[in-house]
Amino acid sequence: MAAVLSVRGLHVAYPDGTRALRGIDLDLADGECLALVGESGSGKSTLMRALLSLLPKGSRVTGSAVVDDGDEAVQAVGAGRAALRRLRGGLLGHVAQDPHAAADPLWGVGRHLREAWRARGIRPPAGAAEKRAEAVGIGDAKARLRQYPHQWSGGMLQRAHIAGAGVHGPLITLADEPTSALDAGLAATTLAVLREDARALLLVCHDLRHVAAVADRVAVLYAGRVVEIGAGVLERPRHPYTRALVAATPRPGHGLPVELPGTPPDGRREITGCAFAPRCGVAEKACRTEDPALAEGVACPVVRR
Amino acid sequence: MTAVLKRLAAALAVLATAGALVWALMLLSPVDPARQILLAQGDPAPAPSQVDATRHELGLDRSYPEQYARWAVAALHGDFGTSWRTGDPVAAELAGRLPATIRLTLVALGFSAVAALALAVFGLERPGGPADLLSRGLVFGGSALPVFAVGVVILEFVVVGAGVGRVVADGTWPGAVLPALPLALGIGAEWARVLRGGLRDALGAPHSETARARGAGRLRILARHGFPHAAAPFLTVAAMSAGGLLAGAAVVETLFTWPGVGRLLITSIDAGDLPVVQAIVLLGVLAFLGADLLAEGLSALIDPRLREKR
Amino acid sequence: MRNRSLHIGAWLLVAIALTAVAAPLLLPDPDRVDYAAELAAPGAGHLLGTDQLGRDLAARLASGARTTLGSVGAVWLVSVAVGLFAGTVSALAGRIGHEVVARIVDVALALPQTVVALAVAGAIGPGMWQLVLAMSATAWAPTARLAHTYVHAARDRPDVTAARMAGIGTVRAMAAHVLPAASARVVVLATLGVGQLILSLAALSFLGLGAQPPTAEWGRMLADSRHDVIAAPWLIIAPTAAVFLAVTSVSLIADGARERVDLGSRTWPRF
Repeated sequence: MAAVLSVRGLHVAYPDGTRALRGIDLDLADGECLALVGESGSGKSTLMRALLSLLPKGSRVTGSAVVDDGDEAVQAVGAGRAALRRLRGGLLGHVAQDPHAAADPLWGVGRHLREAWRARGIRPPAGAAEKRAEAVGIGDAKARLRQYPHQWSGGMLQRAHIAGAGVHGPLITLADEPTSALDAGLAATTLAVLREDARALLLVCHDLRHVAAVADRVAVLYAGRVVEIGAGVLERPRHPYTRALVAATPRPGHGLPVELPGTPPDGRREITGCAFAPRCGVAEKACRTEDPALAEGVACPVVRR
Repeated sequence: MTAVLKRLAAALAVLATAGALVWALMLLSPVDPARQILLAQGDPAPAPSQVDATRHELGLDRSYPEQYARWAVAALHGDFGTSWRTGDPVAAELAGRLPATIRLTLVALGFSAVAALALAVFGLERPGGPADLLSRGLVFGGSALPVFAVGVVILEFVVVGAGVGRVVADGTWPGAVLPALPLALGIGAEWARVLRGGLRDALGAPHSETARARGAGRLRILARHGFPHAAAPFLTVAAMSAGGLLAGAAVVETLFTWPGVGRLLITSIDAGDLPVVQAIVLLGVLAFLGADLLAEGLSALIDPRLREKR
Repeated sequence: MRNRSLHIGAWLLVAIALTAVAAPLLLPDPDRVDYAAELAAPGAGHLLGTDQLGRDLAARLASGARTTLGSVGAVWLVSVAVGLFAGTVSALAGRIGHEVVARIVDVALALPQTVVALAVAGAIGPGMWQLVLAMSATAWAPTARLAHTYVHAARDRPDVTAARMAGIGTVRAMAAHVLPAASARVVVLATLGVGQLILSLAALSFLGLGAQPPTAEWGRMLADSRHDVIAAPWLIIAPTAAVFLAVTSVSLIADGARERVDLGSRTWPRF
């Protein structure tokens, strides 16, 4: 199966100079769910924004991110108007973190859903919004869509967003912490709905249990780089950072979680060698000078030996 | 619906109280209204009996609450008494001047709206960029400049100095353009400030980002997401500027000798002509309350969350 | 313009205040008339020139600063003190106490500040202190409402409730936990209104309703020198600049302070 998303050497720097992504390489297969995990500041959201060209004006993006649906390949980096029109809402769907913040409080939920068509200059077919709502499990759609976001619960509203993101059957759905703002009980069901509705799913999530339930592959990000990527990453972590991440997650029966000491590096400074070296338990002298390349799914020469 | 009626009832109660306070100003004045009117009507030395007769006519010998009631009822019918300066009915004087002020105000508000829109949108593309900083600086500076200074500059340098426009204003629409400029400065800066802030907040909000992610163009987002959100704080501030309009108009009209209600107010204050002052002040309060109610109503229309709070 | 605003504004205000206070020591008498030196351009002897009666402009500006700062300060003080008091009483008193204060606040809020000033001037005649009185009559209302909202909400706050449950009386609990923050908010709100207040007072003085001659006041100075402006433009530039700087300094302070103190979204839209 060809990759629907191929990211090569993606570098992103914000207008103030902060380097958010320092060379991302990853692929996403058709229909696959790839989860991005990492601490805040690791660049997960930046990656999503870069794909949709939603970074603040003045950001510098280099590298390549190609979205390929089999017939046509679109370059997301430096995308012009035509490319953006194909990507936003078309090839790429987007689900934001906070459902209430992402929904315009002045608009009814139905209008919000229909926006998915109107934003692309298409008239929403009659009843299409209701159909989409029902497809994601929103009952009594006709009446409920007339209500306003503040009258809906977080879980339901997020389903409406999922419905909106999937209106045009996007190749890839980008979901940035879609369940962080929801109550724990709702998170699992909402995530299930999302997975069901989306074709390929690029999911940012900081809760490793949810990731384990839904993801086919996991990519671990640290300081703007992929440090480990693969299918069994959370069950058999190899990279020191991934190990620390897993150890820090509360799991019943595994004793107390172990907190990872230290803080991630400052994105404004140049980083020589491995970014994780200062906090790493198995770091060698070479780690501080040599850039670890991603090979065999892990970016750590020490562990690979 | 009951919420609306309750609101109206509250507004009327406030208006009545304000009216009472305005009327009570009379008590502060050392002037004897009866004597004053007789003097104004041409009698240089009114006889005490005449003064008493006029006092009785005006109802000044009754109790205070009764006097207020009579005044209020008359005011409701549009009768604001007699001017102490000219001896003519106040209502007639007001009616003669009101159209000119309305013209001036409308022109000024129009200019303000245009300026506010322009400054709010300018620099929106790139927050923090040069255009954004420039518009912010202009807005900041504009709200610190006194209206009368700008008016004097325009009057002395443009009208008198360069000969543009007329020195003696005639109260017509074209004549309103120059006097409206300083008035629009004060209001426009305030409006621009709120609109700028509102737009920037709305466009930076997550719901705007979602719309962009769905493929919406910048113009669409500005129109559908930006302005409706910016409208609510804007309406609040716009209603407040209605309160300052009278004073602003007073300054500008006095400066440009515009035949409006503002200038009449100042003339009346200088002459100690209380009935006219009371009438105009009451009008000012009424306009302010009306603007406030209108703004609240429009806000509730735009924002569904406001409808349920009541 | 983060908290640079606060600092720049504060320094500017201090500069203005210092000029106002130090002026009598360094500059000539602002009321001294000198027909020989009428409308003199800025130069030796007169830092900013003279006005139409030969009075030193710089000295008059400084004197005007004293007038403005004094009147505005008085209104500000009333706004803070009365507002805080009324709002707190309203929030802590029973239903009746609240209703009474709330109705009075409603009326005060319905009366536009400048309109009231005009009305009072019409009734008892012009004068700076009359204006201050008139403006104070309405200035305390917004702060009272803010204080009420904050204190009222704070009554049920966990830390206040905990204090009360521990046996500390309601008033003491509020005083310790709530009053400082309430005062801060009230002060910021009051300061936000000062810029407009300066402009209003200057405008009213311009119309002849404020400071009476020979008291120096910026707006009045502009009115008096109106006709000589083409020959002596500094007569307009100086007072205008003074008003502009005063308003800017206060606005910067208020804006900077607002970043730190949350007033709630509906109170004042940001720059």
